[in-house]
Amino acid sequence: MGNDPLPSLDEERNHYRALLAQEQRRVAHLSMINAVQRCILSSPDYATFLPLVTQILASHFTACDVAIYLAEPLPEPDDTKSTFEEPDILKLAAQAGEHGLIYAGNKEQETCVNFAMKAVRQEHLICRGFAPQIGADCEPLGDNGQSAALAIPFFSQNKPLGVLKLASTDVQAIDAGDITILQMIASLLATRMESCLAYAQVHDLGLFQQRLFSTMLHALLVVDCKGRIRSANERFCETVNLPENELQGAQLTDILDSSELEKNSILEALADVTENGVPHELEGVQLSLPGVQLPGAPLIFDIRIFRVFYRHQPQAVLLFINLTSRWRNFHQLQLMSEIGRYFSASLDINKVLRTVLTCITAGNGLGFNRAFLLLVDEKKQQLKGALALGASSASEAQYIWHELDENEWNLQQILDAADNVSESLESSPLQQQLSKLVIDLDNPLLPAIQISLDEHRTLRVPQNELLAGMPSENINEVHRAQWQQAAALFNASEMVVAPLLAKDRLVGVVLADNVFSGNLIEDSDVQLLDSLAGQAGLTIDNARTYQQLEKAQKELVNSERLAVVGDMTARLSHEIRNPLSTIGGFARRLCKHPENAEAVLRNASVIVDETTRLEELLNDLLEMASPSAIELKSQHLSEIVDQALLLADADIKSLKVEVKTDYDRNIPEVLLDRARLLQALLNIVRNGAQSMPNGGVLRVSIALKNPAIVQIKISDEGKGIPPNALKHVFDPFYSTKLKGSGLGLPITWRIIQDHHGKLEVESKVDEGTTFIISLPLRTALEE
Amino acid sequence: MSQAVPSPRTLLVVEDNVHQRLLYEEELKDEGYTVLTAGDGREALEVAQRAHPDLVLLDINMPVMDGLDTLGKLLEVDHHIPVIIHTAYPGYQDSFTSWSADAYVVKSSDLTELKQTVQRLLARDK
Repeated sequence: MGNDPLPSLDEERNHYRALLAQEQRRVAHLSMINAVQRCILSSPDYATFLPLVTQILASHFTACDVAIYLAEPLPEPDDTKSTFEEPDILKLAAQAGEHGLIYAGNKEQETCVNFAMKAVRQEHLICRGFAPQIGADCEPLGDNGQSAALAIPFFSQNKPLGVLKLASTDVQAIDAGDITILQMIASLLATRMESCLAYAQVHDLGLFQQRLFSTMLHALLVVDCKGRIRSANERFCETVNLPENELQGAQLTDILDSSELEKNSILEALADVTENGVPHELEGVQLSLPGVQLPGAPLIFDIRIFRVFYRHQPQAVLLFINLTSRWRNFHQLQLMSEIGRYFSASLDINKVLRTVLTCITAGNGLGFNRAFLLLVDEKKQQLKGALALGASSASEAQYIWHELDENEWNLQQILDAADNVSESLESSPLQQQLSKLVIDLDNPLLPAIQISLDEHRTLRVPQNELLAGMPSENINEVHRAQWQQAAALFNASEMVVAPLLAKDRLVGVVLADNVFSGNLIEDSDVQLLDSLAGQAGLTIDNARTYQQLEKAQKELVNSERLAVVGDMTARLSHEIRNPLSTIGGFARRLCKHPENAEAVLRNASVIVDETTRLEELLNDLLEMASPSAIELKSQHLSEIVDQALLLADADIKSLKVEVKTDYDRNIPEVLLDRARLLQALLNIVRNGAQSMPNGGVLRVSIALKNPAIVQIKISDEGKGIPPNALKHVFDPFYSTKLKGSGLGLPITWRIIQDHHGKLEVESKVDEGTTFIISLPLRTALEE
Repeated sequence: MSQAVPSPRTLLVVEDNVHQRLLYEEELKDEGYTVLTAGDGREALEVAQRAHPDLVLLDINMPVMDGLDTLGKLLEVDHHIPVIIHTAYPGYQDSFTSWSADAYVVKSSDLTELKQTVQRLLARDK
């Protein structure tokens, strides 16, 4: 302190007062900052806290009015460009103070804003000595009405967010210390605004995504790596008919059928997606979802699965693209063509009827619970119950559906199965009930059937339209009885009635219902039944026509058979009459000329010859008519062929025929009936030899045609058989040979047939004939 | 003036069965005819052209009807030659009598009908 004069007490007091005032101001500043800080943290929404901030400031700077302007547009929080850009406009966001210096009026506001805008380019702008309501563009106005204004811009990453402005009529209202404090507050505001904007953007984004997510056309599901559902969109909730809060946290396996999940490998796909991030696409997945579990109405989805991260946890998003209606259209088209195929596959009327009803009731057909088919009796003008298909009771229906589900049968398999159980089907209670049903075509008590038949339309009708109300007493008794029978059978709340037409002729009517499942009959079902009935009508008509045709054909075949028998008789009479007339003729000569010993001997020998021929004929006829049973034994084919050649030796030698054989000796023993095959071979060998009256070579070979067939070929060098006669050589009595019964080759053919073999003949006129016997190479082991 | 001994009439027997051919040949010879024989159609035509028989006895093995060609060709050689169709089939008589044949005789061990027919046709032809 040295020699400085001691300050006077007053000075001292003033000094401390000043210090105290300074301290009090600092405390006030700090508490103001504290208040501002608390205030801006109280809400994430700047529109809420900015007015509070201005109030706090106004209550501190009581001589001032306080305003906060915000840039419009506000910079995007994620805009990383840090170049300074002046905002288009500044807009008053909040104000406080009682001096009326912040105007909302247009003109004045503009100038205020201009002042603030000017501040944006600077750290702060302070003007003193001008009319505060006019703004910074104006020069100070001298003592009269002097005032002060301060504008402090605040920035987010170098981009102006807004301006904090104070204005006062007191030129001294704001000092340098205040400016520092207000700059601090402005930067607090900037930081907070920045985070608010970021928050708002995230929030908006979230809302936006939520909207996208929930209003998506496709069902969407987020599942975590433990198979728990994290979220589901509206569409998914609708599809499974469960609220989202019930879905959240539930296991996927509790919501979707686990067997279907397994069948379509959905869980594997999920694991692959969450673990490895490989997206999966499962196409045409059939799902039965809770609340929509209707038999015959499967839902078909394409499922896309991809990975997302939520809080660093991998999750799988399942997008279910519902293809059911598209698939159903396609399926129905396919179904109709399939059904058309089945229809055309059979002409048996009963099978056709069964096919029609099976297609209507099968789940993968039209999927009705029950179907009834009545046929028109044109003579009696009546509909008669023909066939009913479907369960007799709800429990039976459940059982059938379960069975079908378990077995996953396709339509063809169901049809095949229906063929097998047709008897039990015909004795079903439903069938028995329908069989008794007869409806007069003019019965007024069943109006819907009448309309359908008259107008040739397929109708979906509620029960009360199908069956007019309880018939009154004055209705014809027969009609009443028919009504009662019909009412007992057609007890579903709605039914489809489809006329069966062949061109324009009425064949019958089909009725179908969903009495057990209670499923509504949809337009598409009606349409399908309509087109099915169209096809069915034609098919049934075809089958009926075919039935008549078949009958006519049978009659034709019978008459043909008679003709064949007549032909045979004629041939046979020839074969018998010739030798018989010869025998008789010579016998008469014997009687007439018994004296000529030489002639007697010759005549008698002719008689013996012809008698032998007759006996042979008789044997062949018997053989032909009732062949002895075949007795198979394992033996060498070549031995039998050799024996046949030996037996024919007399013919061969007398005709100077040379035999050349070529046997494959490696052929194993074959199962054969020795005696009968010998007979067959003998016939061919003799034929061959006899075709060469002037000698020639008879070639006999045995060889394997393939590992399963052995072939014997017997070729002669005779005159050959003309092509038109070739196709008749195996016909009885066709032969024009002098010797033989005309049954030799037919019998041979028969014997080879009995060995499951084949007898063929090739011939060229003047070159020769070859008989080829093909026999299956059956050994004893296989038998 | 009529001749004292009429020259024997010549018959042609067409028959593929050796035994039957023999039978008809002998039986008809016994009746006083000159009998020529042929075993098939070709041979029959040769004989007919060479010897100009007064009558042909033609075996037709129906239903193959192998004799029909022969019949047609025989008639080409001589329109007026009487032909008897001799067959083991009784069933085709109607269709054949309307045909070019003059008679249709079903084969039998009793040759009376055949002989009578031959006689009748030759008498008519005179």
